Amino acid sequence: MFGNKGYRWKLAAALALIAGLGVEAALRGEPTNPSVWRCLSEPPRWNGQSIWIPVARIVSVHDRDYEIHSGIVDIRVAGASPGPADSRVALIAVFHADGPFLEPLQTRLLPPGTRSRRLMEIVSVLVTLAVFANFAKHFLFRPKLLQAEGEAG
Amino acid sequence: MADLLVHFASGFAAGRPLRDGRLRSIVYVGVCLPDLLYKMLLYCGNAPTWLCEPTHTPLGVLPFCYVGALLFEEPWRKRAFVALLGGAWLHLLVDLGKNYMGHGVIAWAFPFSMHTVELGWYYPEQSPLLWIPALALIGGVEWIGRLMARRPASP
Repeated sequence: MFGNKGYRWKLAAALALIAGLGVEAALRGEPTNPSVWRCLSEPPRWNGQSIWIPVARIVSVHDRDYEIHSGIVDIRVAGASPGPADSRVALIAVFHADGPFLEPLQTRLLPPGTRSRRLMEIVSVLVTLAVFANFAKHFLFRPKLLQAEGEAG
Repeated sequence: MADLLVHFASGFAAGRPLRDGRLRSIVYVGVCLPDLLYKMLLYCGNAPTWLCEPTHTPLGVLPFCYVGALLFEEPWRKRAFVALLGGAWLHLLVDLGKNYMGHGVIAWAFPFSMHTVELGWYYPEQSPLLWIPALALIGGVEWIGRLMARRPASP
């Protein structure tokens, strides 16, 4: 399984499996939790579907509903807004084709946190660089080092 | 990639007892692997999020680790595969603690089921709160590691 025999076939098979799993996840996952734009493109098909929106921005707030921007589209959400315009929310909601609008089941106001998000990303990039520097220290091919070891030996 | 410090700390705690520094370095790569693959597919490959999901499933990550292991020289491949997979599974275990409002985060039986699970211990944006415990864990494990190394061998 890990030998050199049939190396290219093994590599090709593993890459094909990765591609296949990706396609499988995309085909089966989208109906499980469709994007808002997909619901809006075919409202009758997704009527009554429960969807999870990890991040959306509140665009405008009205008396009985509010509008959010998710991905590339805007959609109305029934009920009182959890925060003022421009704040960010996460939702689990039911999509209704007549409107169309979302009926929220769970709403969570997300902290503004643009700066903390950026800090998290910077720290993560630094950790990645450190991990790969450590890996390179052990595995990087260094012909000069080998040459020196050869001469010493 | 939002909380790789926390993931690294878990990998460090698991990998530090390993005597071989090369194997340790692979475990550390493995623990970062699911997020690196996810972001790479998402941003570099412009893939839809669902297509990236297998990188965060226990079985879906297997072929990625296998391909990673194949990039090593032959005598190292089996060890590299185990180290990458161990690190990646540890990453998924830490991610399992996230709270996605009950929606679930890890499709634990993919490709056989799309059912997702979560423990709901912390929200994703709260991971900076875990930085201090993570750094303490790294420091503590390193300190114990050095103490153990200094201890004379028993006769």
